Amino acid sequence: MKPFDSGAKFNLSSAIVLVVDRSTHSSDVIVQILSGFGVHKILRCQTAKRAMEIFNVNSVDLMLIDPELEEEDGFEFIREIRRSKSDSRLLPIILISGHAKISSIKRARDCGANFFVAKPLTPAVILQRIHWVAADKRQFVEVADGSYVGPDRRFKFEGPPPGSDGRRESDLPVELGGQTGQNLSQNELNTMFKPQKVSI
Amino acid sequence: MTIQGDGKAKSKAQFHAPEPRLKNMVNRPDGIRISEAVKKAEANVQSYKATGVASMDEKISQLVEICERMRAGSTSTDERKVYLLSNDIFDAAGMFGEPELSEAAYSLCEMIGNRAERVPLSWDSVNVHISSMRLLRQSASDADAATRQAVLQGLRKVTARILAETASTE
Repeated sequence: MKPFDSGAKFNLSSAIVLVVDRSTHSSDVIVQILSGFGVHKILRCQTAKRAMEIFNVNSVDLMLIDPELEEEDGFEFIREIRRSKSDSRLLPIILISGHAKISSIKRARDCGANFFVAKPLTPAVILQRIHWVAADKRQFVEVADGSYVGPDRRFKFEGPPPGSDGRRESDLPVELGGQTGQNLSQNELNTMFKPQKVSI
Repeated sequence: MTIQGDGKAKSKAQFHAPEPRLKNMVNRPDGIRISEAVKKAEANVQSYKATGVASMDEKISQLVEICERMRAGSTSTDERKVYLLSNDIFDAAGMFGEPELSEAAYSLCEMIGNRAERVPLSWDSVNVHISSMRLLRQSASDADAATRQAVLQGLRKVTARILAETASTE
């Protein structure tokens, strides 16, 4: 993702942002940051159960969540949202984490969040992630067996892993097949790269 | 479902291209500049500093209380509480300009969070972290840099030893 232009403008005044964090002080800081960005409607809660209730009555545009909840598993909660049938399954989610246990890193990658931010937070990094979400061109993937639902984890497609012909039915092998038709002529290539004015 | 050359099944997947509402909220001429927004947010965070630091001190006190209880033997609930509190202190100290305290708290998180259950968590190793955090907090303004670095170096060694024991049991 490219760095953003600090002179560019944005308007989050109509955005609805949900902050899920078991620590009230940590969510206070996030609220201060979002207020500075001009977000007017910031909803907050400390549990996944309450977050689900909020989804039922609000059209949330972005969720920021620290997965270390008091008695619930934040990664599992994100997986649950992604597998739900409601529109909120497509919700942009930014995972905010303090210390990351080794056992959590793979779960963070596979839970279906859009991006990840490490604490301690800074306003510039949060705003950059919000812009990344807005500019994200990755497709949303729903694997039929439910093993993964969320934004494509591949930022750049470089073909299937060596020695394999892909994990998904839509994956194409790296090797090209034999030629099946005539090469394009130079004139045909030029036409493709030099659009001409249409004369009627 | 088709089968790959290595015998594993290929999964079927559906692809969507969702258009989040956020997309229409950036690059808007009627909005505020990124540089202004960041400054405003930083000022908001600074205005919260006194409350945030008081909360951090409260959490250090809670750690001391739990540590006293752990002297007689720790439970998994105590360990979880210590992990969560030190995680909060790591965050707040880093945000409010106390990087050494933040590092000490991180070391405690690392020791508890990445320790294998088979490796016993000694009261001494938790206590030395909490005592160091109190020292670093109290002496943030007057202790010399070399002393603070020596304290951190000691904590790194304690955590490295516990994690090495974890690695050797895997």
